[in-house]
Amino acid sequence: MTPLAIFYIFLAPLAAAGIAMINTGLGRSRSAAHAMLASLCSIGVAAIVYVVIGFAWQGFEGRPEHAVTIAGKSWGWIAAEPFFLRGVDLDGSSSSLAVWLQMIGVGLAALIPLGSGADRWRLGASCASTALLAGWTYPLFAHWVWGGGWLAQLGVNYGLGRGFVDAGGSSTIHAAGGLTALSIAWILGPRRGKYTLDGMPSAIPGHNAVLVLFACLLALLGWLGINCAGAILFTSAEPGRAVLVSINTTLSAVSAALAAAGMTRIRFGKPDASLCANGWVGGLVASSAGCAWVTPAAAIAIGLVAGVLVTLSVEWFELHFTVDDPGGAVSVHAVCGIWGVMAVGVFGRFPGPGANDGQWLAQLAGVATLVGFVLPLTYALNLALNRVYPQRVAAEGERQGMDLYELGAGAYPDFSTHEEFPPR
Amino acid sequence: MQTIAMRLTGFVLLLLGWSIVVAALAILKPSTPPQAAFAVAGVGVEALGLALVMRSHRIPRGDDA
Repeated sequence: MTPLAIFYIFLAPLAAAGIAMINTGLGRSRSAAHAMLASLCSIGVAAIVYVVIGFAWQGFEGRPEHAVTIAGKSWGWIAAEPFFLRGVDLDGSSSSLAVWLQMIGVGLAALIPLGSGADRWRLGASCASTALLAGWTYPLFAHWVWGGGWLAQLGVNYGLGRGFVDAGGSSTIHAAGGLTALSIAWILGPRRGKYTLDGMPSAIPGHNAVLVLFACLLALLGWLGINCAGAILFTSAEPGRAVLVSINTTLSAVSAALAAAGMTRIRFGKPDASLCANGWVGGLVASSAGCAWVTPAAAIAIGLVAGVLVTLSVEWFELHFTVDDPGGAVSVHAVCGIWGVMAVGVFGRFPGPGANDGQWLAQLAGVATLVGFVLPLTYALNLALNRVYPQRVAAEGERQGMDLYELGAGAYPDFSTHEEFPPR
Repeated sequence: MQTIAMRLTGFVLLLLGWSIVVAALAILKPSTPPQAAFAVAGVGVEALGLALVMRSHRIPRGDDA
């Protein structure tokens, strides 16, 4: 198992590369270098904070944890590992491979809010916010799901299927990151000029569709790695299931992209490239939770629903809820992540008698925890951070662009921006 | 002021809804209709809270004023 898992984890950083490029391409050209640098810094902060304290809170199944006993059942709520990975033998054991995969996973989660905060989120503030995510929000929820915590034990303790199941991180990585992205969008507020005085949105298109669409292919490779490794490490799938995982992941992504193309063709007359890219990633996100436990036909259905959800959700958030989310992070990661989690309850087929009874309720409990606990927690942490270290850039920074204002140089110095066009 | 009260109420409802779901799992007999009903009700309370939080963050429009 170990060499296979190592190979899959080697692929995983490509998912982060894909998300970083999508965030950059969907933002403005005058903030492109800033977006890419923020991605690198966030991955760095997330990896270090996770190794220093994150894994100590998260742990791994079967390892020490703090638990409370309710009606004779043990509810594990936080791990009890030493800091700096001192309790883990980094020798290819399952727990050591989980640490490695999680370092990448938490970096991926940290990239998601950069999509919603694009063009106005200060570099230092995004790093500080990432530290909160990697040090608190992510490890706490991930312990409940992947560390043998109370959500994972719902099957053993209460007979709810196999307990909460999420093989590739629809909830732990994507929904948690997407809900943080929603908090960041609320706290920062919309970009200047995004909404008119009467609250109607203006279109601010992304600056590089080719980058965004190419990134979708990179993300697919990364997702194949994360889903295969996650299925083996976190849901005890036998290594041979990697074939099914890969087929399901790919089917879900392509179905979602085609659904988004169809939806935008029907609604706007032509397929929309950026929404199709969002649909593709939304399909990947939705595929992650149940990739090892659904049939290929179900994976197509999961992808089709994800593609439709993304296109409708992007419009709803922008138009009706006035959430300015340039990268579509909330719709792609939070909405599709939650759908992916619930899809396990609808389509999941686990071997063994009675293994599927009550699975939907375990999945519902996970969704309730994301919306009812993770969202308030991440909002409160980022609001508190905003009080001591304002997260939004000054008005002059938005006017100049984040590249010039925070980095001193643009991503495309040879290009003229539209404000600098000479009069004809 | 009204917006902040709405936001706070929304977040309190989110936490309350989650508490109802957790209580349903911990207290009620597993895999029974009452447990499922209470859990779904808890999610309903969360939906109400989320709607309030969303509304409290909305930019006022001409027709809202």
